[in-house]
Amino acid sequence: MNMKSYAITDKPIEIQPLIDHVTHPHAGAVSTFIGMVREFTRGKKTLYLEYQAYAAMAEKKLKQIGDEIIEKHPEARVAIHHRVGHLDISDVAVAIAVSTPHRDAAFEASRYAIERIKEIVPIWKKENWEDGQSWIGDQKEQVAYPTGQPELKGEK
Amino acid sequence: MLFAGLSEVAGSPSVLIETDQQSLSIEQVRAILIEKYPAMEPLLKNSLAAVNQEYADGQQLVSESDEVAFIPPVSGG
Repeated sequence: MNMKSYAITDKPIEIQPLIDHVTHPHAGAVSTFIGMVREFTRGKKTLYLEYQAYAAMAEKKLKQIGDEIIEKHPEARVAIHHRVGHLDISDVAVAIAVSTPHRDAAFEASRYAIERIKEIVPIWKKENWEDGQSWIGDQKEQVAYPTGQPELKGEK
Repeated sequence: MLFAGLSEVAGSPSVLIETDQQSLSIEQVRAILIEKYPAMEPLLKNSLAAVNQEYADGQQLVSESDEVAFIPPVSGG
């Protein structure tokens, strides 16, 4: 299949093609993570979200995350697709599939991928609440980049 | 290039900066933007810079041919 391993897309994300993309004879486990649009955040009702990306850079950063996983687990295969544009409640915003020979690494790697996406991938979410709208900043609620920039493992 | 809240302040996803210098540092570009769009200051100071699609520090020099972007805190996933 000729699908991109790392993609920003404005189309609905299908999970099975990502699973197929990372499936191969040495894989004994595939872990998938699906991030979707949630209706209530701390009691506030979301009507819909708008995602915006710096698409060219975002795809490079998704690949960097995949490369970081493969550096740690050389037999892993990774696919990550993130959607942009208007997303309704329960739409899939991001899907990650990681295959590895054994299950521990697959679980660990998919968790790692979603946490890294929230650190280094230039994608922004605009919440459209019942009572207004706002761009959401750092969801990990760290001090805004204490070192002046995100942790850029594997770079420089 | 500007994104999210920054592009809303500018009213556009990209802005043109005129200068008679051959190159500017990222910090100089940031200062020019703040002068042009004072409302950007809090978010722009909290934003990272990217040059040619790679994170860059404030001392990096850029010229006309470089793609410069300011990246507000990200919220993907």
